[in-house]
Amino acid sequence: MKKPRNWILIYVGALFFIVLVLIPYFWVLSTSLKPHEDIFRLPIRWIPERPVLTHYLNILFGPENFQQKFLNSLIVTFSTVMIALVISITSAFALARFRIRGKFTILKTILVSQMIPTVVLFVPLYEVFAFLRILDTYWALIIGNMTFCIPFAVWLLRSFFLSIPKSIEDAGLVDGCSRMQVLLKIVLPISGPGLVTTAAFIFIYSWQEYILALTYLNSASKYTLPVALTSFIGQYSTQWGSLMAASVIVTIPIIILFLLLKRFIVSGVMGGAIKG
Amino acid sequence: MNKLRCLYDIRKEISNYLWISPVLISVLGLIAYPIFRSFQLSFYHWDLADRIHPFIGFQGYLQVIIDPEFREVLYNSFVWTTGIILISLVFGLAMALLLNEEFKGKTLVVILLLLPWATPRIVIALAWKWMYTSTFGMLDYLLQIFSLESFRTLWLGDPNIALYATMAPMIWRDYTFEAFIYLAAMKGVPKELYEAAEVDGASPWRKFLHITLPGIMPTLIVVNLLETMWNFNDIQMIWIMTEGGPVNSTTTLPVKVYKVAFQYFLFGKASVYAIFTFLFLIIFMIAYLKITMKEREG
Repeated sequence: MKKPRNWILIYVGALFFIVLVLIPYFWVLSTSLKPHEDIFRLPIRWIPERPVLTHYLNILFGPENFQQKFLNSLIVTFSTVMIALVISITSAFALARFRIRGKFTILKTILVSQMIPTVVLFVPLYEVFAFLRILDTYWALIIGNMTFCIPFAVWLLRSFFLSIPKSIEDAGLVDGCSRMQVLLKIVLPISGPGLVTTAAFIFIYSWQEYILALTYLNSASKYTLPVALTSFIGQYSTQWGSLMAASVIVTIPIIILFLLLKRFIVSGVMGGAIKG
Repeated sequence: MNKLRCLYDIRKEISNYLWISPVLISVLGLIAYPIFRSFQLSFYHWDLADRIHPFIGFQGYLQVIIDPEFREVLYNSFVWTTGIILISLVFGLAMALLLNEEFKGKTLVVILLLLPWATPRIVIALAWKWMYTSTFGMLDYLLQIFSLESFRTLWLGDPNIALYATMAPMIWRDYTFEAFIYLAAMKGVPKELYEAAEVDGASPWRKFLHITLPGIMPTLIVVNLLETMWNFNDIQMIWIMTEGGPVNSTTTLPVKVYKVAFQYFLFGKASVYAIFTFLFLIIFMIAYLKITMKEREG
């Protein structure tokens, strides 16, 4: 049926997009493996002549205490994922199934909340955090992340709950389960993909969050990875080798997560996350 | 009996609201209150260093409106957002059309092309900053290889270039993501339409224009509304690459809010700018709501 006339065009096109996408990765990897002198030497060698791991070792075990930053990022990200899910699950279920007065307005509000420019929230949140004395703590970041993650999670989870056939729950209700029991014992056990997708999106969001951490943290010991990265940009010279090695380290967890959950994420990107 | 039923309804109603209370409270506390507070702050001369914060009414707004910098900031925001949106749209559509064809090794291509989306924005910003670095950066070197030295410039240091230079990584990250959404929409266009067009001997271009494009239009509009809001709001890329400089040339409206708030600590003035940001976005938010909610009802 299909004519094979344009396969050359297809491969040339694919190659073009792949090269466009991969060039920055190649550049980052190549820089991270070069000794410092070779980074600042012309002509540029695309493949490092003398590949070294000094930058990686320097990052992992050096004076910057990157392990601490990695741990900080993990703590903030895991807390964000867990808290956002716990807060959102009951509401998402209720908004999918119950007849609630003003439900439509509530849904609209939740949808709009994801779009609120974060800069509008920064100053008031700064005041609130100062009042609660949680500036310069993980809590400032976790709560700050919630401004996006909760509306997002409710919206995504709700669309998953909507896709579960109602008959399954009705059976539970006939058997005399309370609504909470239906949610915990019947709905959640079969909502694995929905929960995983939501958690993955929140993880990716929180792992790379930069501006909140930049604004609300003072002490270097509490820095998350994105803020720690920018500390390599010096006033006069920048340690590009170490910076790029650190970039690779920061990227790896997300790429692994992405490859593991590719199926869920792609379907989430294509369907649920955008169209609700 | 009737009374009992009524009581039961009220109890159920309360229980319903209890179920959604965690989210209601979060949204009220984390989003509604800050917006209200921003409005409030915008009417005060609120310098974090001062002890007294006098009420100045609309004076703050007036000062911002007559400030020539405000126009400059609006212009930057406009150029930045529309530039990213339009170029991502073209590239995204081209890539979606490509992936809509079947070919060997497509799965690998798909995974590779989704990588930018899964890469932390901070890393993207830093990688591009390093590519833009003069002499030892990749871009200058490439230009030299192709004997285009005359185009070499301080990519992030030239006020006429910097705004465009900061757009590139945003586009690089966005269009692949968009392409996958368009691709999903293209799969939904009925095959019979293409077959009928083939019988009529329509050219690929005409098929695209008269079948594909109208077919994916609803998705295209929603995605671009979202992209407009996301890109307009983004401050991270600019902040890491230039911090709004050189001489305000990359200061968009949200970057201005951030600068005034957390470099000068003028919370009142920052709130005025924040309210303007908010007002601009409301138009897009309403449009987005109208479209999405209509789809839902229909």
